[in-house]
Amino acid sequence: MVEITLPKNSRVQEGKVWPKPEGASNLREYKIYRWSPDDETNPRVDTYYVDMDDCGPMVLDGLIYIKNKIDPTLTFRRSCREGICGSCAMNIDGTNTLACTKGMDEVAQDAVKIYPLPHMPVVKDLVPDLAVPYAQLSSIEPWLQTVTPEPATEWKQSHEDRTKLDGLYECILCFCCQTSCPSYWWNGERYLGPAVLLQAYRWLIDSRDEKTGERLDNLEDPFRLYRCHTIMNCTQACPKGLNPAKAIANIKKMMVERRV
Amino acid sequence: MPVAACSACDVIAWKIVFAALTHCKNRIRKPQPQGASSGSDVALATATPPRRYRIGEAMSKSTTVQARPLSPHLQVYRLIPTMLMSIVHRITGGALYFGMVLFVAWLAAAAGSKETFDMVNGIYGSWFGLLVLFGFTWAMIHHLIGGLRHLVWDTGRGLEKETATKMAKANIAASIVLTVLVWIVGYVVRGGF
Amino acid sequence: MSDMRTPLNRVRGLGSAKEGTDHFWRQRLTAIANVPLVIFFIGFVIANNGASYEEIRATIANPIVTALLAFALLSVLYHMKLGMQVIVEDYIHGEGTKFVLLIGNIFFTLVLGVVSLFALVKIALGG
Repeated sequence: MVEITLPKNSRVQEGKVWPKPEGASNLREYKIYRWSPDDETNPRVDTYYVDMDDCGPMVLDGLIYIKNKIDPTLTFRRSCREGICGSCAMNIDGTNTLACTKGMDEVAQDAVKIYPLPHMPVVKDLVPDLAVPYAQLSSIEPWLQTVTPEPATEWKQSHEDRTKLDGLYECILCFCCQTSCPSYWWNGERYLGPAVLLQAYRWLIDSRDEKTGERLDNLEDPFRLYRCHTIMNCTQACPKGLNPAKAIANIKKMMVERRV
Repeated sequence: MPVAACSACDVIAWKIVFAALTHCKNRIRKPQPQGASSGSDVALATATPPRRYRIGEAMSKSTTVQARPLSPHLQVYRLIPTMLMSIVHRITGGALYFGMVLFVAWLAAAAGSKETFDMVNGIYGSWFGLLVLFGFTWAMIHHLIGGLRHLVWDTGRGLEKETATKMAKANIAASIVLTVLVWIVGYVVRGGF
Repeated sequence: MSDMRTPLNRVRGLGSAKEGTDHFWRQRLTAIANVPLVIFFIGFVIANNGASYEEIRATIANPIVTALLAFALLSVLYHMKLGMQVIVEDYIHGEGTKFVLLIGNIFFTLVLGVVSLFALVKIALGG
């Protein structure tokens, strides 16, 4: 039976309130999920105060402020700070998104509440273990596969066929969509999830790829593909404005198409 | 199992192992650095192809994986209209599944004696019976409209997030309006008003 | 017990079942059929609201009504079976419980189908 509540060791407890920065008048409250393998305690939510006059406008700026000025043990992934690397994906204000492209002013509530990507094993604080989604990506073999001997120059593709990849190739694999999907929460190892299925579709409709049938064979499974129930959390969450739900709908169409 | 390729990661990996040892909580396996370059690589290259990095391999489970907590999900995720209507679609579906017993029982009663039929009708006509039937009507209409939504999606249309949100809101509104309408018409037909 | 399989091993699992499209297709097929049939059903209930035992039996015995109700029952029950199967697969992960529930689902809908169709035929034949 699916566990709707959290396991005993995962239940979140009240954490500590860190002192407000001295002399700051323009404060923003942050409530952040904390857990460390070094502690023997359950995860907790700590409260921090960010001096808005000394900090950039994005949620990530606030996190960096906290790490630099208040609590250096706070752990999170970040790299490009401009929405292209996908490292700082996390659950902010109840939705999965990138901390670097989410403005603090977009968070309506007083406190900016931050959790790791949902329903994932936590390595530390805001860092989830993404080994399973990476393995799932690997399982769909996301590269060009051909049988025809490689041409001397390049694999040719018409402009029309190239445009079919728009809205797919832009995916940065942040897994915001993947971990927003309740179906993925309940069947995370058997259901490939929105991010991986979007990638699968990206190769399915690539006019140069010659393994379309085999790819469809691999996806045709009650769990790998058909756990998608169009809940739409994926599309609502994608920080790049892509549409995994639509990609999955198109895969389902292809499945029907090849048998009628 | 590969743990880390670079020395910095090694340090972290060993730190984790050390922490685990001091707490005596986890079984330990010695991490084996892999992919580290050595002089023999070139010589081996002819016999075995160079090892290619595969996604998902480098971040295999560390020794502390058992103790790792699961991050909050339903507890923290914002209930948005599309998600909510998906849940309601499922709940109404489940309710209709068991609710079908009511119709089958009624039909069986109609196939039986007048007494049985009147008894069943009496139960269904009680205030509680009517409440259940009202809920059944709403569940049916909501699931019907939700189903239409799915059929539209299956053609690949209506999946843009703004459209989907509008459709979700329309679904709940239309189902409530139509249910009330159906019951009003039902009473008018019966001459109840 | 610790699980020492690699993530890829766990994800690849037992491989693709190479099916599921049939389930998907039939769910949609019955869904399409259900739309007019359920609307008919709602109309049928409204029209016969408060009707007596004799009136109801006379209405159901009308061949068109009998046929439409039979179609509605078959389509709805099949759709129900497919839907509940998905719910069980989604939430029930213990192999034993899952099998029991999947089988129970088929029996449940089958029993409802047999009882209701028998009742329909009985009324239609004036029994």
